[in-house]
Amino acid sequence: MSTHDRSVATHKTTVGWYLTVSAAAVLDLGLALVVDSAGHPDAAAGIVTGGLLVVVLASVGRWRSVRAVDRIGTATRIAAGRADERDLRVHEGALAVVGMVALVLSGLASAATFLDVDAVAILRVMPFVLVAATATAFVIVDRRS
Amino acid sequence: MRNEIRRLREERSLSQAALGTELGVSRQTVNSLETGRYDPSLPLAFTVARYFGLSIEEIFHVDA
Repeated sequence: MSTHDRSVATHKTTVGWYLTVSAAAVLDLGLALVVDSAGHPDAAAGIVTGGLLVVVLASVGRWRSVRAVDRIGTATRIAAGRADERDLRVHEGALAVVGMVALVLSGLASAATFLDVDAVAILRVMPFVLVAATATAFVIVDRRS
Repeated sequence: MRNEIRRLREERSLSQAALGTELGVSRQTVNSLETGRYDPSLPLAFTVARYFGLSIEEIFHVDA
């Protein structure tokens, strides 16, 4: 890959990262508006806070990936859009684990509803469980790779 | 899979970060390659071989 090709590729990656982060922010705010208009202002506030926190963390990661490229970790490089092939393999491995966890959890959740467990509560807890599973799987796969 | 990356890097007095920059990967990836925890893709293996001026077979060895 020539210097020019690499520059073009970097530019495309940069543009893609800004588009992705902007789309995530717009989607987050749009979802919060919908939830708020449905009469759940506290949940909407939570969606805005959580979503924008992720956007801010990704932006900080992007900034650090330029300023302190040797001191950032796998997750930061992925969030910053500067992942190499190992980072992407760690990401894929973690997501594969989460996919299996989600499959098992959805089965268990479905069965739980037949035992009169509150389905709404299950639905609300599920994202947090999956986020925790994602973080755990990521750390384990990263350390083993 | 075993490899000679650490030896080749040290012969050239390169840090892992410097080699990573040359190969277009992170320092952690170079470390994982050297410790055998990560097997590179074929394109990266070619990049490593080309950088050191050797063939892939001279750098990477299948565990037997």
